[in-house]
Amino acid sequence: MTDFDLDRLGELWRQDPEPAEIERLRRTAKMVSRRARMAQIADTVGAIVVSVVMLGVTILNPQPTTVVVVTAALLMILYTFERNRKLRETEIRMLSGTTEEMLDQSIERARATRKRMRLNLISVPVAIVVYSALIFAARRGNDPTILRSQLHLSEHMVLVTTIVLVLVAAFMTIGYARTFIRSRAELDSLEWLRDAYRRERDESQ
Amino acid sequence: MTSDAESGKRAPLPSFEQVVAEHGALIARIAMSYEADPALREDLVQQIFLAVWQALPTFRADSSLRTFIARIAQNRAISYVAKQVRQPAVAELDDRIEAEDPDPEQTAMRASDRRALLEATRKLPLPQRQVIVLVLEGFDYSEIAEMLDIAPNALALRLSRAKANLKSLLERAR
Repeated sequence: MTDFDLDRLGELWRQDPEPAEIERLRRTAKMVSRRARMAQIADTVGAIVVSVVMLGVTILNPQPTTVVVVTAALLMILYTFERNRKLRETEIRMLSGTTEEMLDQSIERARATRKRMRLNLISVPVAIVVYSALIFAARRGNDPTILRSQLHLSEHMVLVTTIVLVLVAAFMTIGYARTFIRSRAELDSLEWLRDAYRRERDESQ
Repeated sequence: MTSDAESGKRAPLPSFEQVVAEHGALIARIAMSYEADPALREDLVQQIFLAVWQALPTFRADSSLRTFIARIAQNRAISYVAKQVRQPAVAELDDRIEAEDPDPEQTAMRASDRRALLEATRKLPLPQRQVIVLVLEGFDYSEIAEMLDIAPNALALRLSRAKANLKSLLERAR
């Protein structure tokens, strides 16, 4: 390329893709929209099924405790739906706004993720320590069945439950740690990008 | 008889399939200018399609649909780059995007020029790349200024810097 003519470069840039490429894009788009629709349907059907089951349980066992638990579960489902709807709205607003606004909001979100992960990283091991201490204290106090009596589990099941809980907590902690580390790198990258945009804007004024 | 515009009615939204048919190539080119790796680019294209699918019902025709799509695609691509947390790789241009040409020599030259242009564009800083991609896509300056929410003179300055950088990168690539 010897000359610099943006119109000519634009023509070069916008040359028509091959029909095979267009077909591939069409297939990808179809797959994406189908998956998104399926996810929406699965969410709705899942919520309806859980609500029906909860109502069934309440009708079959109309105890105050059941009513409280079912109400809490239904409120949780409603909250999750509303939260997901708001998150989707924010995401769309972010993407259809200016790039700087999008970067600002992404930075806020990355910071919130880091805060949440930091809290999880502290609370999960603390919960495990507290749980282990309770088991230890129960055994030391000649009452090795504190969990057994509460949860109606055999000693063997208490051991299995403890091992499973510790393993789950360990995996969760590893996941939180990875997200925490990744979010630091993402946050640095977002802040660097936002600064680049601000510099560019300041220099253009 | 009054038209939809006169009666204040909005034109019906195009279907997602229509949007893909009309603007799929634009989305593919924007993805290509931000991600060189074909596998990662496919992932980015899917993310852009999903964003467009979700955002389409919110389109209010304040701007053209093409502007709306380009803005979403660019923003998604930029947030994708930030999440990747690495410099975009400079890979070979995917041959599938090249149109067939009866003259093989001409095709080879155009492919080579296009590859050089794409690689040079990927090396531009993001704010400049964003402007250059929109200019290459044929958006007029007022649309670009509106999309980026910057004053026309600020756009002119950014564009002149982007052009100078692009020119120098293309010359180095020769």
